[in-house]
Amino acid sequence: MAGKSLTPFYIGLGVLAVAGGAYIVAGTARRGPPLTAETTAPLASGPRGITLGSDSAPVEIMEFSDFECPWCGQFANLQMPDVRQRLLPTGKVRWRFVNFPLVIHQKSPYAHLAAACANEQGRFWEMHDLIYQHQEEWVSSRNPLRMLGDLAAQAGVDKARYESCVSERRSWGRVLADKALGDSLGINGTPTFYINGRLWGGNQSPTVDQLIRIVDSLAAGAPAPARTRASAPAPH
Amino acid sequence: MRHRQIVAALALTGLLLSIYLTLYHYGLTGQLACGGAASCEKVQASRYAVLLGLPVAGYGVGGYLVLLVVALAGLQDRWAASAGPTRLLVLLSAGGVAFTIYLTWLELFRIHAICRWCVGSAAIIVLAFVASLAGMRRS
Repeated sequence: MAGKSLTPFYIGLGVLAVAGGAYIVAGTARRGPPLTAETTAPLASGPRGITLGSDSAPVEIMEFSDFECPWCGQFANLQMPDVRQRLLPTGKVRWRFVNFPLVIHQKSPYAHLAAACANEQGRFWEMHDLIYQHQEEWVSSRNPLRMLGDLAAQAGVDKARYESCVSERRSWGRVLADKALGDSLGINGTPTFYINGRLWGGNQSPTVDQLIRIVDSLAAGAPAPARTRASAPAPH
Repeated sequence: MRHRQIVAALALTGLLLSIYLTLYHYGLTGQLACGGAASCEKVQASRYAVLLGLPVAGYGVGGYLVLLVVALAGLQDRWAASAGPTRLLVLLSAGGVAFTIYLTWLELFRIHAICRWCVGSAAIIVLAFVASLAGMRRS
């Protein structure tokens, strides 16, 4: 008896399930192009990440970053110029950008590949800045590769060499090697910072003022600051 | 009985929403529909999107599935007259509300971004709790 009176309810529930399921299936059909953070390739050997600053600096700041991550974009656009102006010229610190494309981002792998290809020509940081400055545009673009190619041209790369690198995915192994380092450290969010091997434990990305204080104390041989937690990543 | 139908419908909606976010977490669905805002991305890409090795949305899948099963079981002749399923629904949805409060606190005070899908889930679990509570008072 109860089953009969509940029939319209079950029909409604079925309609809801089908409509919701169809929306989810349509979403999976909208997946991005085949390069993903899990696309395999032989891992590149050599040091992980791309550095900026003095090789002999006593402090190294390692940033695990995803080009599609809004937080990373915010840090790159707002803090990084200050890092370059106020922190790096002191010679006390070396910045190491480590590729960490999150699996949730469909277009991010293309940006990491594009930046790694620009790095082949010594134009990584120019490309890094342009990718973050134009993050919303290429992320919302139906053809991010074309837009990233335009950015690479602005960064000053040789276009033919860049295009061959991207089409052959020549530098993808380098991106994966970076990601493998992050995975081995259990990183699951970006940006994540390590300062001389210690995890930055703040809830937000560090500000330049905070970094300056930490770098000064580390360079002076003081104990580790309170907001960093012990851990020891190896960049190679 | 009516409240169990309402809870079942809400639980199914929450289940679909959680499946969508879980698939997104694993990169199995396209870009997250967020009305052009980056706040959903911020929440999903934050370190708080994973709890004990599992995506937070995955806990939603489990929670809503249990809620749906209990609500549907409570509609069957065998359980229709029993107050047990309603009590269980109150208990389960109260747990969901508590977890939602924690997640909303994270969004407001740690991540500083509000994801509209999370707001949707919060509304669903609160409504499920209210409906269950109303059902318990009537029975």
